[in-house]
Amino acid sequence: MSDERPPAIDEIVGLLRRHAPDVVETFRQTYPEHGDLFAAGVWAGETAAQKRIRAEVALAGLNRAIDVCAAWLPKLRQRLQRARQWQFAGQLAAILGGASIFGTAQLATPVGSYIAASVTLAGSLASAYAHHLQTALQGRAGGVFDSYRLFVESELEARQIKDELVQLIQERLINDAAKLVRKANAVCFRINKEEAKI
Amino acid sequence: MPAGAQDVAHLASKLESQPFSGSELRVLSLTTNVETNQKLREKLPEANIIVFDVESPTKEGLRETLSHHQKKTVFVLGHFEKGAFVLVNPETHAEFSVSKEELISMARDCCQITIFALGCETALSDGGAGVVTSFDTMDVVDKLPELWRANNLLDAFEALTFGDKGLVLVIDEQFVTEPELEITAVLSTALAGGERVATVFYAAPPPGSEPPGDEDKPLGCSSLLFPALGLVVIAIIGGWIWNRKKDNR
Repeated sequence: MSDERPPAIDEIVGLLRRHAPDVVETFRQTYPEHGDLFAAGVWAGETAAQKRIRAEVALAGLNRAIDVCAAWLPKLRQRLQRARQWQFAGQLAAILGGASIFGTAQLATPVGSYIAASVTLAGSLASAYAHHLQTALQGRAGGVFDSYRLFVESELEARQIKDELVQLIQERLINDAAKLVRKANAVCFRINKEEAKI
Repeated sequence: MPAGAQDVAHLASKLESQPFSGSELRVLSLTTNVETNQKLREKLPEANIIVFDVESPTKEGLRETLSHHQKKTVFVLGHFEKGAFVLVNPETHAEFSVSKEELISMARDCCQITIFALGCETALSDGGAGVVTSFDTMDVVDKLPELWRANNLLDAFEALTFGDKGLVLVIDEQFVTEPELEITAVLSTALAGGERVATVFYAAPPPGSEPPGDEDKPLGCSSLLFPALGLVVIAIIGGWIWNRKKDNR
């Protein structure tokens, strides 16, 4: 890795553009001569070092990243809970459908077999719906759980980097901030990738 | 010897007349930027996007990926500095770079692919085909769908020069199926009042050559960009005067 290369902030800017475009606009107006740092994609060539601007953008991006993760968590948690409830209902219906009591009822009346088949069918449908709730976000098993874990970890990491970065900025140690800006860009990269999938 | 106006016209007419199909074009992203790659997938036909693992890139992997796109014209989009495309993994910070020269020869030797390097100032590193100006990847992604609406390769290149964020390009005979001369030309489009005024297409020194009488001066920004900008400015002023006259009538 080249220590001379200024830390990239394209993913931080990308996250801000989606969730706080006004913040990017303020940066653009404050630093009109460094518009290349606030590219909608990524500037396809060299950009100025501008350590202070990059640190400021990183701090703004981390604040927003924490909010974004916090906003996703209850939605995903709710989805996981609903999936668990449907899974339980499905298992319950499958057990009931196969219970010997319906065999006995079937002997007494033909309606019993219809009831048993319907309960089993409902159980299968509930299980299928539960599976759909868990995977629909990314079309793979454990998709929602993986997203949930990623947002939990990203929020924690963003908070940690933010605390360290605030301290460096307060102590005017901007030269030491490059590593933290890189970490901030990495957190935003993970969040952006996840949001692009879901 | 630098190409003359006749040679440039010859190149333009060849690019215009040779058989062209959008299915022969590919776009290869050499950036990890999520927004850029997502927009590429949204805007371009899936079959025309080259899928490459930008998070763990290797030269072998790149060669292998290109080998599935034999004889195509590939527009490579990415961060370009000091003569090379550079990819830095945002998480591991591992750096991968491939020089324009190496990429062009790798693609040509393995797969008869013609590369057009879409990065900042890719034309200035060696004077060959590429971009003279600097740009935001998203602005180019917005223009790329126009490549598939083009009637010929000249139209396709021209589409990248349109708009207020149009690129200034250098193109050469490598895009001609049966090249006869080494011709390099600068392509730029001027706008006035939001309307296209002129597409400037003029001679530039061939790659590797030096301007006559100026042996110590490398082919670079001053030799390509300033004449291009001069012509663009003249075209804009001309367009403005023409618009004024039209309004007064």
